[in-house]
Amino acid sequence: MAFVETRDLRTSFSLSGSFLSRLAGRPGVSITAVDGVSLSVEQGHIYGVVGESGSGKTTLGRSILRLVEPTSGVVLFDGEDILALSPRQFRPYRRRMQIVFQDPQAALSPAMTVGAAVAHPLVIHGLANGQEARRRAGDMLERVGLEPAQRFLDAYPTDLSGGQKQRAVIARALMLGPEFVVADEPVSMLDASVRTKILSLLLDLQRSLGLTYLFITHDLAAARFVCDSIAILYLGQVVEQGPARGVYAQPRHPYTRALLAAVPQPDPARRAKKDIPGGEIPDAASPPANCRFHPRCPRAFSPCGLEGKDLVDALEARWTGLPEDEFAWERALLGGLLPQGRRLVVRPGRSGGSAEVVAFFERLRDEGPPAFRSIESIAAVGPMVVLGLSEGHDPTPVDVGGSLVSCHLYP
Amino acid sequence: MTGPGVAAVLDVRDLRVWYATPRGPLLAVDGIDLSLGAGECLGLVGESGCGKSSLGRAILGLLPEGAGCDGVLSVAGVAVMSLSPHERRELRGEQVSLIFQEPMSRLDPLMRVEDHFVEMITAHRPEVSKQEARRMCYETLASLGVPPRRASQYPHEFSGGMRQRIMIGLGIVLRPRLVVADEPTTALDTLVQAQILEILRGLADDQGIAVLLITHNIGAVAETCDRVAVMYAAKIVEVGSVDQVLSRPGHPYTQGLVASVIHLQSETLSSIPGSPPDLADPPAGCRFHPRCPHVMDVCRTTEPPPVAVGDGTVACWLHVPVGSHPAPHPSG
Repeated sequence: MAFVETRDLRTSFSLSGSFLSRLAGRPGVSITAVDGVSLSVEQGHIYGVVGESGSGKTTLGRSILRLVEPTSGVVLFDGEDILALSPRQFRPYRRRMQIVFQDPQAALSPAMTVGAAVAHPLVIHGLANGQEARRRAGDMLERVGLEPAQRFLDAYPTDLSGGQKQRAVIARALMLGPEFVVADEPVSMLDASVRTKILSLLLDLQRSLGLTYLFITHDLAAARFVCDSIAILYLGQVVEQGPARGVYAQPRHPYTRALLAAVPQPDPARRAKKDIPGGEIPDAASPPANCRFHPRCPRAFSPCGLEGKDLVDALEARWTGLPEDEFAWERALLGGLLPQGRRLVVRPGRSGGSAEVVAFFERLRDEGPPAFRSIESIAAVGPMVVLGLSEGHDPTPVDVGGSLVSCHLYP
Repeated sequence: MTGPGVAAVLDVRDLRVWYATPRGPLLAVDGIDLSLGAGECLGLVGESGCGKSSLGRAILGLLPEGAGCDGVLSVAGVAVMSLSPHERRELRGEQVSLIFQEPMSRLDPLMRVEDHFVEMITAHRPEVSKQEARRMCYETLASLGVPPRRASQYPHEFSGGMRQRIMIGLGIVLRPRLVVADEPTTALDTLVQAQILEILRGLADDQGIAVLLITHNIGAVAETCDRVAVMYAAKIVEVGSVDQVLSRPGHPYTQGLVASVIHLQSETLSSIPGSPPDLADPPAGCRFHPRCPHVMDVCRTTEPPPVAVGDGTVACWLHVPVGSHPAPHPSG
């Protein structure tokens, strides 16, 4: 049985517009940062959540701990539906789950000694105070490699290096004896040589204390090293998940493949020309329809949900690779490109009429990159040419060789 | 390496940069030699606080108040140290430009992107018409993958990666000989980072610009650079081709640094024991000796000279024949 499990977890935030727009009765914009995430973490395992900024990975971690309240879905912790618990009922569970933050500088109060900060959870929960709390804080500092503890108990965070601060933050998170720890980018602010030391410490603690981790990171190389299982998150949704070994050996989703190809290789002998998808993560307030990766996906085709503006992008991408004279001819043929949802209205330019434009797009549809295969209809309407694109649908997770992949390439 | 007869675009000899602190002057760059030719991409790597950003700022003449520097510093054959502040400003943008980590802080939120370009171009080249400046802007943006139709938009309408492209565009529109990029991809996501590194490589390959890439990311250097210089505690400890330095590092610090990078083939986690020294009170002899697994007596007392190894140099006593080591200090 899974130790921690989420089912169709959703967390939305409302960005409640400006004062004037509220006065006018317009609804605020809402962002769904976590959009239907289901994953299950085995006890004693390290589960990696990998994504770029804006993927919702941090919100996912906080939603599982109820540091932000999810909008819908289920979080099972040791078999208990913790979202259904009242704050009072939830309190004993809090102690069993902790978080380590990315920025140790921000996580430690500059006005509190390291000893006081690490002992603080004991005092707050009424478990110990005074000399007893200090003794236990000292033991924990030594446990995380801040030895001798006497040197660190009365030190302030400014006296510590970045790596030492992160050790203190880890010590504080472990004071109440948690079983489950969300580590949110625990090493990304640290130098390479310190990074490996903190990762080793986290692995060592996990093994010796039997901890279960949710390891949140944008670093695929670090995730490969520490994780048993992994989920790749894009704009709030899991695009691929499975045993880490399988996902790295045989990535299936085009996004996973792109991420892996983009990881810099320190060995110059492995240097290779890469095919990195263009563009960036779109605004989560208005995510692309259907497969959210389709505007950046080199293999996007009919079912992925392409829109008129995606065809404009595909044309621009095509033009960057054309010889100067062909580019000039095509640019003159297409006078104006007006995307309207799943349609693209084309105004013929100087070098041809609507018949030439129709013939041009018929050729692209049959011979061009996959994006043009989504053109369902080409019609001359008055002086304009209207392209209709086929309707897409949401990809659903499919088991491909042990990984769950949400991509139309795997029907 | 710069061949004989070819003038280096960047030539640095015995450069020192210091900051005044309550505990006395702190040498952030302590006697560095470096040269960089046209179309060459050099990576400058090291941990935070090793002085690599101070070196970059000294090259641009952008050191903060209270900092000082001396030594020989020439960019495109011009001795930078002897220039007036006004002449340095002219040099920046025309011959050398800097690309920062956080592009948004360098763009005026109230100015359209194309106006940034027009202002920049006409400030340096008053004879260029506005119309011509705009054409230069569109051409530069297009070459960096920014659709020229977006030139009339404001900086906040662009994503982080697009802003970094715009910053690079502003840096290269006047065709400088040297671009200094200080952690240009640190704030960017994995995919965008790879896009920007490809662009920097293209500046060197396609336009013959000399690129100095300052970073703590060894992987980025391996993917982008021809040569690499490794900095530790204000000094360069090793320099050479990327193939040599990253595949067969000669200095124990480089060896530790390369081994500590976690990559997709990593089987073990490796790290360098200890932490970098306080630059206000650096160790005697080789500055790496307190952390070095191969430390010898000579390392504790005498600074190692740079020794030619393969296609580069390494400053480490392990590479000096024992017969050439200095005699031990007489005791007492």
